[in-house]
Amino acid sequence: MEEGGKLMKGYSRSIRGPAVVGFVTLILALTAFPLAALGGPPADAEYIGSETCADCHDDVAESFGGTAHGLLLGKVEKYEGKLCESCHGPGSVHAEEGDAELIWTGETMFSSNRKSPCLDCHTGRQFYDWQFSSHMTEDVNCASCHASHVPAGQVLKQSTPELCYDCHSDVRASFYMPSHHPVVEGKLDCQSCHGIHGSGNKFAVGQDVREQCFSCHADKEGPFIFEHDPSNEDCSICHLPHGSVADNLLVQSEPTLCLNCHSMHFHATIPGIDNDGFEAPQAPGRQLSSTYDSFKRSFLTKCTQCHTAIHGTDQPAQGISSGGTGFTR
Amino acid sequence: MKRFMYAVKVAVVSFALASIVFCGNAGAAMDVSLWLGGQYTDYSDYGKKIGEFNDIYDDGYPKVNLDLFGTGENMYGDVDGYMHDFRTAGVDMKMRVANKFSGDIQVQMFRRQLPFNLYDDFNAREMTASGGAGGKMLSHEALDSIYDYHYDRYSTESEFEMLLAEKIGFKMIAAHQMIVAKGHEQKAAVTHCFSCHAQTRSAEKSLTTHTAKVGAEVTPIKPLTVGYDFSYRKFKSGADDVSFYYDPAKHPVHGGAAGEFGSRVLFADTYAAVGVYPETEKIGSKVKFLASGEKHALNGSFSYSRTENDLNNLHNVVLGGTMKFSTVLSPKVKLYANGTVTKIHSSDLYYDMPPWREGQQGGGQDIFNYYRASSLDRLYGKGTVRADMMVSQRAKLSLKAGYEHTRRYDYPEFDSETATNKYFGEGKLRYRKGLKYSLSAAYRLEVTEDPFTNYKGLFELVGRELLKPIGDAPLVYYYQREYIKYQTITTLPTIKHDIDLRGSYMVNQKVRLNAGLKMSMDENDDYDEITVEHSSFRPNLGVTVMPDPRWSLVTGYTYNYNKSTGPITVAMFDG
Repeated sequence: MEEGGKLMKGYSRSIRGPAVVGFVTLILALTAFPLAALGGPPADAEYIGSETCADCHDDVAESFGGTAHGLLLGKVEKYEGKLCESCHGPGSVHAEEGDAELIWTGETMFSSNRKSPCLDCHTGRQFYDWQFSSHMTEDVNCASCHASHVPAGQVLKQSTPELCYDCHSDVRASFYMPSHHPVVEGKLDCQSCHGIHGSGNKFAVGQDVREQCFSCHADKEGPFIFEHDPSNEDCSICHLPHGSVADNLLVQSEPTLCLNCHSMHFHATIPGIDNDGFEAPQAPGRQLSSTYDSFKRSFLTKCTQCHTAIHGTDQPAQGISSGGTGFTR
Repeated sequence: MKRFMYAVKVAVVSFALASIVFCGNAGAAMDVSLWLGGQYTDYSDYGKKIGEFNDIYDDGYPKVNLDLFGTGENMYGDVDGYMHDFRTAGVDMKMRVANKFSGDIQVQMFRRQLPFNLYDDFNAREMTASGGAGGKMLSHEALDSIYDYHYDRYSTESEFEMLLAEKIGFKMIAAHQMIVAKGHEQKAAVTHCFSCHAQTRSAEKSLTTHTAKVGAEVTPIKPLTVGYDFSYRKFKSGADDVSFYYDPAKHPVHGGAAGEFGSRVLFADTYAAVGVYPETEKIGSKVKFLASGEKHALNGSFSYSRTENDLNNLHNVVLGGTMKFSTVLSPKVKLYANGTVTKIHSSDLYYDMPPWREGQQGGGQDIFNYYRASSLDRLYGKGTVRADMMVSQRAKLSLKAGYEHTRRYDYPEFDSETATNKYFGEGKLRYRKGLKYSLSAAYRLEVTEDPFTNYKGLFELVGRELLKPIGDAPLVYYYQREYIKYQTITTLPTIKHDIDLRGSYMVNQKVRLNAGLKMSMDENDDYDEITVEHSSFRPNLGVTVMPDPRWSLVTGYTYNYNKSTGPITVAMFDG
C-alpha cells in the first residue's frame, strides 16, 4: 500500500512540471498572436442621439419610455441626451453601416475582458464580487438573463429556476432525483443558496467552507465533543447538494458510503443461509449465517439507524470500544 | 411560531408604510399579474427503492402566484406572493428608491415530511449454519405510535441597503434571517451492546436559528472601496430533552450473564438523553476591499469567526483571508489569480465522563476520561491561476490550474499530522454566437495525494494497539482494513477526470434547445489488490418554449449512469 501511495505521489510530481511550463507557454503564445478585433463601437464612433436610433428601432423606441430605464436614464446627468447610447455606446458608425457588431449589445458584450456598462449604475453590494464570479468569468453577462427594454417587473427573461436550468441542465436533472432540495416543489430557489451575482451567501458567518450549508443547517455545525471528521471538513464529502439517488442527498447509499472509510459490522458480512447471491468477505473461521433477509437489511441498509448523531454529538455512545465516539446518542 | 408571526407582521407593516409613501409619488403606476398553474410529479419505483420515505408529491401540485408591481418617478416596489397549499406559501417584498435605498423582505413557510418509522424492518435473529437458534438478536420497539413525523419550517429574510453619502459611496446594510422548524421527529436509542435492541419514540422538534448582519462600505479614494461586516448567529432548540432507559444488557442465550455484556457498555440501568441538539453562538467579522480599474482588479478580505457550543463550552476560531486579482494582458487575454487561506483552531476540553464504569469488568472510569484533542484544527489553502483567451471574436479558450492543501493537526494517533494535496488543471473551449448558440467542451484533471481520511475508526477506541494481521487469512482486505482505520488509506479518489460538453441553440425568440454530456471517472489505486473506481455518465437534452412572456414550457430528458467498484471490508470487531 505504501508503495502505491508513493507511486501516486511520483505520478503527480511527474506531470506537475510539464503542466506548468505548457500552461505559461500557451498563454504567452496566445497573447502575442494577432487576432481579429472584438465587437463594439470603434474608437472613432460618436454619439448621435436617440432620435436617430428611433428611425430604425421604432418598436423599441415606442415602448421604451415606459420602462425603468426609459424613466430613469434621462435623470442621470452623465447620460443626459444619450438615452440609447448610455448603454449601447456611441452609435455613429453603427448607424452608417448598420452592423450590429459596431455597438454594445447583448451579443457583443459577451466577453469577460470588458466591464459591463450596466455596472455603471447597478452598484449595489450584490455586485461587489461580480468581477470574480463564475458567471462573469464564463461570459454570462447581464443580457444573458435580463431584458433591458421591458418594464422593471419583467427584467428576468424567465422565472427562476427555469432561467438557471437553461445553462445548468445537469442541475435541473439533479433536482428530479429521488432525494433533492425542494426546488422543484417551489419551497426553495437557486438564490436560497447561491449569490447569483457573485456575492455568495449573504448570511454566511466567517470563511468556513461549510458556511453555505450552516446558514440553514446550524444544528450540524457544533463544535461537538465527539466529532465526525468529514462533517468538520466538507459537507460535500458525503452529500450532493442538488440531488441524489440516495437518501438525505448522500453521494452514495448507505452503507456503501460509510464503507469508503469504515469497516463493516461483523454480522453484516455473514452470507445468507439460502445463498441468495450476497457475497462478502468474512473473518476466517466464522460459521454463522443470517437466517432472514431482514438481518442483512438491518445491518446493510442504514448505518444511521443506530449511529443517529452522525454529524457529531456531545453525548458519549454506549459501547466502550468506540471510546464514546459511536454517534449513537 | 409566535415570533415568526410577529416578524411577519413587522415586515408587512413596514412594507405598507413604505407603500403609502410610494403611492404618493408622482407618476405612479401599478401592474398586477395573477398566475395559476401547477406541476405533476411521478417517481416510478421510488417507494421500492427508498421505502421509508413518504415526502414526495406523486401527484398534481397546484400553485397560485400574485404579483403587484408599482413604479414611480424614481422608485419601484414589488410584492410577489405564491401559495401551493396552506402549509407551503411565501411572499417577497422589494422596494428601491433611486440608488438611495433598497429593501427586500421575504417570508416563507413549508412542511418537510420526515422518514416514517425508519425501524419498521429492524427485527432479525441470527441462526447457526446448522439451522439451530442462536447468535445475535436484533429487535426494535416503538414506544409510541406516532409515525407521521414532519416539521413546519418558517423563515424570514430581510436585507436593507442605504446610501448615506453619495460622494464617498458610504453605504450601510442590515440583514436578518430567522429559521424556525417546529414539529415532531423520531428519536432512537440503541439500548444494548452496540445494536441488539433499539427503542424509538416521537419527540418534539423546535429549532430556531437567527442570523443578523450589519455592515458598512465606503469609497474613500476611487477606485478603492473598503467595507466591514459584523455577523451574529444563534442556534438553539426549544424542545425538552428525550431520555431512554438503558437497561443492564444481558446475553440473549446466556440469559443472566450480565457481567459479560456489562464489560462492553459504558453505562447500564440508567436513563440517558439522546439526540440533544447543541446550542451555538457564532460571531464573525470581515474586512474587505476592492480596487477596480479599467484593466486591473484586486479584491480581498480578511475574516474572523468564533463559534461556541454553550452546552459544553467548546469553541472554535476560524481565521481566513482571500485575495483575487485580475488583469487584462491584452484585448484578448485576461488573467485571474485567486488565493485563499483558512486556519481553524478548536479549543481542547477535558471530558469527564460520569462514573458509569465504576465496578464494571473491562476497565474502570479512568480509561474513558480524556482530553478532547480536536480534529477541527486545520489549515486550508487554495490557489488558482486562470487565463481566458479570445481565440477569435466568438471563440474563447480558458485554462486553469490550481493547488489545494489541507493540513490536519493534533491527531492522537502516531503523533502525525496529515495533509492532503490536490493539483488540478482545466481546459475549456467555448464557441458562442451571441445569444443564438453556444458550444463548449471542457476537461478537468485532478490529482490528489492522500485524500481525506478519518483519523479514528468509528468502532475502535482511540489509542488502541494495532491488531496484528492474520497470516493465513484468505482475504487480503483483512490486512488493509488496518490502513483504512488508521488513516493511511481511503477509497476516495486519487485521480479524477471530468469531461463536460454543452451546447445551446436559440431556434427563435420563443424556442431554445440545449444538450449536454457530463462524464466523470475517478479511481484510487493505492490498494495492492483492487482498484477503486467510480464513473458516471450523464447526457441530457432540454427544450424551452416561451410562446409569450407569460408562458414558459420547459421539458428535458436526462440519463444518469453511475458505477462504483470497491472493496467491502471485513468485520471491525468480533461479536
